[in-house]
Amino acid sequence: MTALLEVENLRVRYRTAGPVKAALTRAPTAFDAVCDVSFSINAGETLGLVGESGSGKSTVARTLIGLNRAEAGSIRFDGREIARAGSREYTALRREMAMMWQDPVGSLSPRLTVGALVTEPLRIHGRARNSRDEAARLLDMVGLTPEFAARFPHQLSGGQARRVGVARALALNPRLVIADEPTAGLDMSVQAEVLNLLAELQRRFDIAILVITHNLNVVRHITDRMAIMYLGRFVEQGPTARIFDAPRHPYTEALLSANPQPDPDAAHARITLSGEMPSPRHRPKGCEFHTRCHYAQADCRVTVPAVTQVDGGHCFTCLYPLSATRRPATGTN
Amino acid sequence: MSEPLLRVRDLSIAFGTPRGRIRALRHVNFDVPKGRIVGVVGESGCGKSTLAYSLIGLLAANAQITAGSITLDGTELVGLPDRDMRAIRGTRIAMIFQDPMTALNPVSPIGRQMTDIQYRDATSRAEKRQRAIDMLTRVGIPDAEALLDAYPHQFSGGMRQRVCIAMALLTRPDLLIADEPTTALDATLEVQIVSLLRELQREFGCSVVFVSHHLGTVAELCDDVAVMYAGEMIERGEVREVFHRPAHPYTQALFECDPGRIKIATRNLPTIPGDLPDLVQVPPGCIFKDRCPHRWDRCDTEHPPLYEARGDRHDARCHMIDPAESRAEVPS
Amino acid sequence: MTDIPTDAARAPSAAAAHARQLSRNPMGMMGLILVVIVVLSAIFAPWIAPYDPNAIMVGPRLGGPSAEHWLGTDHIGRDLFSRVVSGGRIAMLVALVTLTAAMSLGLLLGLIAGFGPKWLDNILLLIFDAIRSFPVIVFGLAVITLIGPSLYTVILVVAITSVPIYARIVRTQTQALRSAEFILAERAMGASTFRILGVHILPNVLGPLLILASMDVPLVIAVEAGLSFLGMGVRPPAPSWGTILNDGYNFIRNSPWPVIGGSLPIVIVTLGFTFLGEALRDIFDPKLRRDL
Repeated sequence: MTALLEVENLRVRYRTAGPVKAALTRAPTAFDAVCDVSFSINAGETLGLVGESGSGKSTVARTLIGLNRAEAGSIRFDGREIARAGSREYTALRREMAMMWQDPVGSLSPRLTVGALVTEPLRIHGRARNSRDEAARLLDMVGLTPEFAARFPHQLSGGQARRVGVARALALNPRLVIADEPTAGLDMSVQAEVLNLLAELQRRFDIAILVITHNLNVVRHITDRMAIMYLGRFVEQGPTARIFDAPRHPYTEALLSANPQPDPDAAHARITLSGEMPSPRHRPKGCEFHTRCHYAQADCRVTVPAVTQVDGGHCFTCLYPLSATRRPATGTN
Repeated sequence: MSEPLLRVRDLSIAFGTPRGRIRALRHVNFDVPKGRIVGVVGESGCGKSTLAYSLIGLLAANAQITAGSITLDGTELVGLPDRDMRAIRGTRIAMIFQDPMTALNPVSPIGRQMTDIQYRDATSRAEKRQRAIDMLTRVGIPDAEALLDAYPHQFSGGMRQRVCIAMALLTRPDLLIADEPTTALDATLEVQIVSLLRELQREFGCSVVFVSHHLGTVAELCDDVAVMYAGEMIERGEVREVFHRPAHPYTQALFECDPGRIKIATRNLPTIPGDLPDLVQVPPGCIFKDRCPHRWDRCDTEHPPLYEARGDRHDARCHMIDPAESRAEVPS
Repeated sequence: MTDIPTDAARAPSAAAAHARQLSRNPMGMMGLILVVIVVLSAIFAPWIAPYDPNAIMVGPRLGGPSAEHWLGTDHIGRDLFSRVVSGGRIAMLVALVTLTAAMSLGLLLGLIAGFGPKWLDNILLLIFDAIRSFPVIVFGLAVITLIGPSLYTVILVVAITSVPIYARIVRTQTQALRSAEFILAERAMGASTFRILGVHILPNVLGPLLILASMDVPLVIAVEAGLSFLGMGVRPPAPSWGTILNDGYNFIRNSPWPVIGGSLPIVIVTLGFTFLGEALRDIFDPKLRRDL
């Protein structure tokens, strides 16, 4: 079975200077925000993309949806290569891939009514017959009554705005939904509303979901597989349950241990990473994580680790990976 | 037990808006003992930030303290003239904010900002500079002397928050108020800041009010915790007590919603159904009644006072734990 | 995360909320009243004016206010009140046409500059700065020398010199919105540039533009009056306020009323539009809002 989405060796560069300056100076005028990223998503599956600020996870999402250009690598959707597709080819693609944005209210055009917002994709792609009925249908799908169609974004609560975002994403029956921090800004007591809604709609319409988040607790529940990003690269990816039980990469272990437990008596054997993520403009040599890694050895500073594959679709890039049978001191037990 | 450093009694605050007067805080009773870290948790609209800002006297122009008192070591802060409040701010009470970038002056080097806030001291500039360097080093900023001339935007988010902490503690305040200081930081940075705060608190012995919606962080850092809902303090006590034996249905439901607490992975996560009540027309009775699974008729009419739950120093506003109630099957 | 979610069933529409806010602003309401008076009298001028503004009356010249002539007469014997009211028509016409033209062109160029490629932005900015570097009156005099004085010359001059101001405002707003998340969302959905500019950016940019334009009405009128006062604007015997002022100025020792008649409406218009514009700006700029 071919995967719905296959990404291979994706590289995305950001330019820091225009072409004139680039020609004149000898300083580097671009840096890699995403390097050598490979993953795949099958239909109906949920993949979580986890990482901290600056890890490049949002860049990956924006590249998939066509807002950034892929410098190198391939992106295949349903077998079709789309990495360097022109905007006309991308138009057809945008019907099959939709995005939910991090800022629930800010991602809604402030002067449009909710009804106009959820049917906007239909209008853009020329399918706007019966838009009022369509709007009502979409709102109903996300649990909002039809009277919401007359509201404006600033009149919605965070949770309601998120639902509108879901409705809009599903307007054209996409096969893949990219959800950027779906729980950001939501209180814990209402986070699950959006998550449960996504789960139900995923089951109903067999949608694949790529969830981008830094909230590990959410990832554990709603994803089948997850990938951890650091400085634009995947350091580990594989089945979620297995990674939570026994992470192989030291960064994954540190992230899991940094996840605060709502239990005052939980063992505080926390792995505190020193320093902060280096800037992608000045990447460390060798293994890029060695500057903060507790277990760094001498050759980590010079040798770039290759990808190690273990069975079950689990892989990681570390010269001295953690043991496969270890259970982390502070996991989610 | 010695007198608490900060005593908040019956504090009520209302905001004037075009929609009407929003009663953001109602009859809040709150103690901060000397040398302890007290967490204030709650979700949107609970009033925890309003409470934090009222302690340091930085409420918005349309806010009004309609009742109650805030006493710092015996001094009444409500109604204190501006000049006296300014003398207290920065010396006895200090605050760190959620967004370190907007809390620092972007056009002034941090060295200058740190010497400026020592303006009350009669010491020389060199001494002030040295104190700044010592404090920056203490909060984990490497090469502090060189960085005195750097501007805030040249620091990363985590570093900026450390600078803010250094500035707040420069004057050795009795009380440090932290309003969601780690919310904008990644998890690995949050860990660093939290352990830094814990160390500094132990070293300087100040009291800390830590406002947050991250239950895990509060569980780890705080000695005591107060839970707020829709403008009321509905539960308070030692952190171990409250987290292991929450007495109020809201606290219980909130913990149940925390995906970190749920052992087995599930696609059907719990929520608290319903919405916040209207704070312009506050309904009678218990503020949580519309969303409470244990509601009964007493909850509709009678506003619950703080009852003592199991264990001393653990109170909750719930009729179910009223010892006079035969219903008192204390929820475990 | 401290905002209290609005109850969807009771939330008022944006327009109603703004209208209510305006009603609470005394200066704004006064401005609104003055503006309404001026605009209505301009529209209904032929019916309000008791006499033909150009008709020479039988009776005293430069006479003071009386039962037949509410503001008196000018040096030729024409009824001042009729002339002032008709002058209002000219003023409003000039303001309307000028500002509409300037706003439209400014909007178009501002959107292009703000949303288009950097090189186009640089070129447009250069053009704007070039135009702005001339003082309006000097520019006006130059144009008048070329094509002769008339109402249309005035309109042309004021419109051209106003375009850069509006364009810059629109450009700044457009640039700010360009990276807003809802614009990214539209691009991600495949919206064309036209759609983004027309449906999503333009409505958000129009508000400040309209407010600025309303505050420029007095300026435009003053420029027109100034040019007419210098004899470079509307040709006599057309009753522009500036012409009335010019005529009255020469005979001020005989009667102050022509000068009063010419300047009072300018003062009223300036106060009215400025108060109203400032009130609207306070309403639409949330950072300036003071709730109490």
